[in-house]
Amino acid sequence: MEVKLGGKLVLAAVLLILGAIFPLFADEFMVSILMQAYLWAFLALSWDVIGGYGGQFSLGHAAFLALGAYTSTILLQSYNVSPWIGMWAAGLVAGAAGALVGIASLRLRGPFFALGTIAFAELVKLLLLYFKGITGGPLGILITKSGPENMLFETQTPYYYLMFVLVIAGILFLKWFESSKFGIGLVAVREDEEAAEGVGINVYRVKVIGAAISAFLTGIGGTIYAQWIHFIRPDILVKLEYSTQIAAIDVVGGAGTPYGGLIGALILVPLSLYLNALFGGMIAGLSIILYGVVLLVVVVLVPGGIYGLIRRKLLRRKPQMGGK
Amino acid sequence: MLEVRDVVKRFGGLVALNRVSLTVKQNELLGLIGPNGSGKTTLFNVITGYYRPEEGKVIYKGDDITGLRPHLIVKKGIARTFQIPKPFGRLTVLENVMSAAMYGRKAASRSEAREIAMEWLDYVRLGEKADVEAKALNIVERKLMELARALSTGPDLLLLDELVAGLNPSEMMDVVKLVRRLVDERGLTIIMVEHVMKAVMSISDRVFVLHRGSKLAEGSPHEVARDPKVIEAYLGEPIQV
Repeated sequence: MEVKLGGKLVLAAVLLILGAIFPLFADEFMVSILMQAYLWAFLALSWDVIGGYGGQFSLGHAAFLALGAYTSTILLQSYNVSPWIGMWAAGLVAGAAGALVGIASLRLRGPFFALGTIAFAELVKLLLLYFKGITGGPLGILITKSGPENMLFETQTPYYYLMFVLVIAGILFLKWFESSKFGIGLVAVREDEEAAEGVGINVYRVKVIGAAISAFLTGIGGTIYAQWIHFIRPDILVKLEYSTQIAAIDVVGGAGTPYGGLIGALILVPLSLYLNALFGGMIAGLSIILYGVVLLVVVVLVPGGIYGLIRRKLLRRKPQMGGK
Repeated sequence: MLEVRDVVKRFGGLVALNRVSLTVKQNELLGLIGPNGSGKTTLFNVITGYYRPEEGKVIYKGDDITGLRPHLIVKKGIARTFQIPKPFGRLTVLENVMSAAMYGRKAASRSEAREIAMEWLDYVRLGEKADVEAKALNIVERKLMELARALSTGPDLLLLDELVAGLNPSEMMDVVKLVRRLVDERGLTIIMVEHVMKAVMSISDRVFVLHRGSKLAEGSPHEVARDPKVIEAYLGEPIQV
């Protein structure tokens, strides 16, 4: 037990150090790829709260990403509020929208919930287009400020560290969350709603708050994303492709676990960037097809995702190790 | 302690409960029996808020709790088990039972909940399975875990739905004794639905017989066992006491 814990700590420390010194050895391009993997990992971890632990398969998380991005960007461009503060407002706005989706989940089950979240994302896109005065409509908003105090950097490396910290914070949050009272309640609801009510859990409340937490975190991710690309527009943010990517990364990595998002992102993000670079814009919707196929394969062949697979392998090996 | 008054529950054209009235006294063990489809589980679902009755009332400790949502009924001090166990499969046994302590009547903190959960797990002799995922339990263990989970909500009134069905005779007698001890030693009030006559008759203070949604008989196990109506309802099956 202690050896195992020690082993885990050593592994975590090695990975942390590798992650921290990576930009010293890699070129800007590699740093940028890994940085994007972290960003998507954080979004997948955020999705995991409601999608993995809550068992509500959302395909509308791009909407929360966009709401977060717009909130902090509008605050920055129009009101000169630094995104370091604006990101919390972004989380709150996205979280409030998440609560609405949570309310929908009380009525819509399984595939119907997924369809409902797609519709919700489309609605958010339409609203962003409609309120031109605030959002810039189809032209979007260009971030024209600069400086670290506005979370804007000249090179990729600071963004790398920003997202590195973000993803570590996300993993630590899920580690804490999954054994918290609320986390246990959320999983209980996922596993059996009637039994959950039978132990005193307010199922409605847990579902709504779960969706709100997930959207809150995704909204913060939206701020960081906007700060990195410097430019937001409804049609480049609220994409079904993004919603699918968030969910697929988490499911492939291992939904309902603290590490699934990171594992999935480290595999899928470089792969999809590579394929997109290879084929350019020649094949429309290529990454959707990629995610669709990978998702199908994982769901059929390795339920529990890659993390689940690794864990099962380790657990199976354990008795032999004990025997030696 | 609990009074069910003229409860009617219909499913479409089917009358599952037809003007059922029942009272349970403090610290009593009431056996609820009846042939399949007589409305026993439906009555449980009405008392615990899973069904809202069309007519009638459920009064608990003087409060009208008719149609209150199940999680609020738990907070009032009524807990139940399910006929087919409903474990939270991917949570550990300990987490299953802790959830009840944290969300139940006392709203215990995590550390308190752990203590309460371990205490009840030991009580049902499932302590060593605490860290196992609940889905890995066999049927007997699942039933015992559900019992521990229900107890961890801190109830005064406990509703057990076919707790011993599917157990072998020696396991059955163990569990039955355990249930009796909950009443005698822990001061709980229990209604138990049971198909296994031997189990109900041997430990109940009083027995209530449902038949086609109505009360057929009520009384001590001895009286009920000899009641001609009851014998007829069970198609002449002799009831062993």
